[in-house]
Amino acid sequence: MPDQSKRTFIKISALTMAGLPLVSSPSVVAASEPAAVSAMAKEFHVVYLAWVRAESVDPVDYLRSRGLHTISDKAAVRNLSKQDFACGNTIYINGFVLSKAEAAVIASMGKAAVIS
Amino acid sequence: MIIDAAALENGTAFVADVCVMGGGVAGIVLANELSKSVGNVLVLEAGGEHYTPEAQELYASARPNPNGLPDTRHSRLRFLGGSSNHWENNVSPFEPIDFEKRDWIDNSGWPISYADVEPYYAKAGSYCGVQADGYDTPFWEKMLGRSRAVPQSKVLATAIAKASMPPVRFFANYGDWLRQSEAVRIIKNANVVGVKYESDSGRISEVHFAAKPGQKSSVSAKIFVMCFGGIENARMLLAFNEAHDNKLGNQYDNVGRYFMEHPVVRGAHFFAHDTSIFNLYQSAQLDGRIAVGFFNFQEDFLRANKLTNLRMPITPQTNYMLSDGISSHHILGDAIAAGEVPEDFGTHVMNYIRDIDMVAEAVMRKGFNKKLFDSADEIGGYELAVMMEQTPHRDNRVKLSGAMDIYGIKKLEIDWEIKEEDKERFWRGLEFSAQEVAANSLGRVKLLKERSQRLWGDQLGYGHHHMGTTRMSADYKTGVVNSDQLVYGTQNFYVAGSSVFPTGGHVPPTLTIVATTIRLADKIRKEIGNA
Repeated sequence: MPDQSKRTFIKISALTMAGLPLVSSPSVVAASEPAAVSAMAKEFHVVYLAWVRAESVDPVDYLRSRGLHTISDKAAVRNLSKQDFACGNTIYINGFVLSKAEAAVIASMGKAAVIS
Repeated sequence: MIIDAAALENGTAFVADVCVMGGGVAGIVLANELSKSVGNVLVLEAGGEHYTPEAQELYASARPNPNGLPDTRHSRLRFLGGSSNHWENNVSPFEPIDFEKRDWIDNSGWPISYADVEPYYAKAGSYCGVQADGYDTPFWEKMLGRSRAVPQSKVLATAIAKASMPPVRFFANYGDWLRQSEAVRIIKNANVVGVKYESDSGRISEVHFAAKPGQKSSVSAKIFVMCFGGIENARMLLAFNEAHDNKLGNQYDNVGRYFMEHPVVRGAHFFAHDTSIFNLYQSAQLDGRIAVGFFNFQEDFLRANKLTNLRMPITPQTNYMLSDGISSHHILGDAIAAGEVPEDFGTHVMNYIRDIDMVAEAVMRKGFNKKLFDSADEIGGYELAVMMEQTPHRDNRVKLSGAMDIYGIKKLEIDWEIKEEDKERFWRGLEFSAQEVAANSLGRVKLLKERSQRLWGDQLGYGHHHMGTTRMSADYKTGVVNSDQLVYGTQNFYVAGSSVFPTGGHVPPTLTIVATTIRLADKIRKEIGNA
């Protein structure tokens, strides 16, 4: 088995067996989805949970308040993110220092994964 | 000429213009500088030309050092060349702000400025084997054909470190000159055991030394300079003061206090968007030396945010070494063994599970001496092993214990810890760095705060730089030596080395030790000339 497959296999197995709160949510991902996508969705969900713990506003509402109505506008996200870093508008999630804009984008994707 | 104190008859008396006590970096540089213009220099070195366990044992503390501070028998060496016999030769100059009074740092501020030391840095570079071509970053960008990552940043600066390859061992490099010099005599195996202090004149008239218990010889000189090292200077000066009513720079109980180290904290990982941007930050081999860039902070930014500076080299690391899971595995294991629940318990469990492949890799490597995944050895990012400035605190100190060494000198004890305010400034500084590299689209930084217990505990590194214990001050009430490194209360007794540093900066101190020692040699030359 190639390295990457072994690693992914062990990770996904461990995540599943652990029954962590972040993966025990009803339908983070469908069982049929590729493992890598599944793992990514779980990472997004971690960010969502961290956002909810740290911020009083829903990530989607937050992005709207910053003038961002679609997260597919990568240039706008990048600009907001740079502004955030420049003025220290950051959030500390799982050790990473992220701009609030990028964290809100990821959190909104994590939220979507939960409710899908 | 080298004389063995063990071969001397009891009561042998030497006369010199200058007696240099200690044959380490400062002592050798001082003797070398003075040998060119002062006729009669005598160096007393407690060890010999090579390491011996017997001499080294005299560096033992009376009790284990607190908070993981390394054993004083391991962090320095007691023979000719001193701790240069095991240093890595990594040198950079202090910066102007390091000498300033910073109102947000208690006890900061030197009585001399960067401008007073700067003229000596080029020559100090030559002594340290890294040449006299300085540390100007634009110069090194041109020299190496590599560029700074954030040249316009008002937050991050790029500084240069250099090292000789192989490292300069000061006695191996300069010992032949000293041996052959008509002006210099070195007495090896000469353990200083006391001084004769004339309280009326404030002069030291004699220093006593011994090669074995019960034996005693002496040196009388116009000037005495103590160059025993950052810890031993304090220990010996405390011992002298016990015999002389605290008149040697200790009227206000300052000797041994304000002890500082350079903690090294592996506090962050950096994941770059484009690693080719960071070539300047990887070692460049030159002829007999290396040069490498590291991040630190702009001085105005330090002032505006009341920070202490951080030396932030970036070192490529493998996925295995960057694994959060392995670190969390250790933290959880330690906590469970102690029957405790660690801080950030949930994060550690998460790290463990999400990084289970690297945990499995660690188990295979340690338990079965086998590798599981080739990708574990792939470069996954950069590690920041950050050297931080420790600020001076009066209760961090070297003091005398009740136990004696074989010469009747009291063994030392050390009280030392890293204060919470230094840790707070460290994390705040790293957070600013993380924001700045992201604002410049260089990548993202992960701070390892959840590892704090280990980072400030068993994973804490040390520079083995001992500073501050005979601090320089313009006021005898707040220091031990004046701006000329003359011990308060004396007329002819000086101290050289990092023990005179009121603050320790964020880079290794040896270049500044050498620079300040050359400056002291200038001062002594003039004094001897005038006499």
